[in-house]
Amino acid sequence: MNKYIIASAILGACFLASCESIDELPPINESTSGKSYRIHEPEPMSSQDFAALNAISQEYEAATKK
Amino acid sequence: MKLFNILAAAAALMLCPSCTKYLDIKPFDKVLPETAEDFSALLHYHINFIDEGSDNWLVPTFGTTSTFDAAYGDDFEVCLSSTSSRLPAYVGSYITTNGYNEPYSKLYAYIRDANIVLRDMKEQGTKEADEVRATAYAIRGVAYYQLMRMFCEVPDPANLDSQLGLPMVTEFDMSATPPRGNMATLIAQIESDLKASIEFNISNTIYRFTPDVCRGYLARLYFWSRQWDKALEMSQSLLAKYPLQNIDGYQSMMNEFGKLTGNELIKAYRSISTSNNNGLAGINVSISARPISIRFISAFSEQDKADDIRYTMAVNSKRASKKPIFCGMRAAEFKLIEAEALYHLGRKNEALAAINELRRNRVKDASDFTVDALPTANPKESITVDVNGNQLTPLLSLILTERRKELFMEGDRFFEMKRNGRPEYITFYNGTRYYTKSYMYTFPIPIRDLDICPDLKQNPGYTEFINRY
Repeated sequence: MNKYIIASAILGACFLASCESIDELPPINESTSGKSYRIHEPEPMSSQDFAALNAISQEYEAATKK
Repeated sequence: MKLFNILAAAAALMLCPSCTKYLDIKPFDKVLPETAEDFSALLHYHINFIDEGSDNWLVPTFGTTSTFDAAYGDDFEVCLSSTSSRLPAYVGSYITTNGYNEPYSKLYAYIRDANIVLRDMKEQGTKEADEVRATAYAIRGVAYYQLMRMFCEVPDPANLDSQLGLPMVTEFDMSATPPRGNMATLIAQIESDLKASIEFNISNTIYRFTPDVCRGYLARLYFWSRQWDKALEMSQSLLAKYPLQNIDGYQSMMNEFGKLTGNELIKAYRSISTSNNNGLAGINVSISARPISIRFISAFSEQDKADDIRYTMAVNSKRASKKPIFCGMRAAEFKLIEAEALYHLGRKNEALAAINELRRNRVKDASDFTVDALPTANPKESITVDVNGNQLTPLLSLILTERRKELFMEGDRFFEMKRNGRPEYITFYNGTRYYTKSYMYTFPIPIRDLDICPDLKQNPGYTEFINRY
């Protein structure tokens, strides 16, 4: 019986000695891998944009068709 | 006896877990290399990447150079891209996908390895030790120079003490988390590293960062930080040794792949031949699927389109680029630095003479411009102010236009736009309008670095996060 008491006491002492801080956990940081900076949002092209695009395309077609 | 055994086992058991730091890996400074030859392996690891064309940041590759030129600058017409172009639409894509994390971490990795060599290599006075030490200084200086251009705003000589620099790491310490220093400190560090490398006067070109290459980076540093007198002196001394190539020399130099030729000082891909470079073929497909913009085409007069080797060699009948991409440093850049430095020092006639000399080496039967008869500025040019924020004069327009022509497909245009007013503009692509805003010319400090070091200050314009997943 003494044997068990001694063994239990020793195990208990080990348990206490091995924990410098029993609640110790690595610091938890929120993962940043899925984050990026918000920048000026792209927008759908307006009718003026399409007109400008057409002008660029026409100039290109005219210049390269020769 | 049994009790004694139990007690002994328990005591041994307590000995291990009670030592909270027995697995601690500190101190971190156990370095295995001993001789200069050992340490050289650390640097050749990086230099080999340059030679193989797989180092994107110290001497950028075709992929990096073409992406900066054809997607982040305005030399190409994004809205006319065909589907086979895999280039991004604009520089914002680089920011939203956190692409800038790579240069930041890679360039600091070069700095880390250079710091290890400089602190731990004990061998002194031998030729090899000098070569290794010189290369370590050069690599650290060039890495900080590249970081500065990407992650800092353009240096303002009147505010160098208040402008944000970078975290300065000049001693190897894994646990250090230094805050950002100021711009003055950063510029001084780059200058000091490059000069320290030059002091060793190494001649073994296998280390690539020879004294002349370091002088070239010094010229670039002085130019970027508007130290015009120093930029002038350095560029002129290099031009004395590496004169401009004439039209034929330029053509053969630009067509030479791998071997250092003409007035080139450093270049990537020196150990690669075109025949086994599959990556280049893919890049060429992407580039040819995105036409050159009218903004770039308009930089040439009708006469120059026929006579300027830089046009005939670069633009085909479909306005696709056919110029071999150049990743490195060559002497024409120093002529352009010389011209702009002379201009800002008020020596306008000499600045014009420098540009005329460059044009005589590029344009067949070129006639010199005179101060009274300068060409009309390109009406489609996005850059309208100079590095000081002043409206462009006809002479400075000419200098910047010649720079644009000369360094086309050499990774310069995006940084020229950044240096000269950071123009904002709109790009159309697949039914969407993308804005390039002025703050996007300076990339943000990576989010993960801010998490590790909360004292790091972020660049202007980057305040909000979004979760991509």
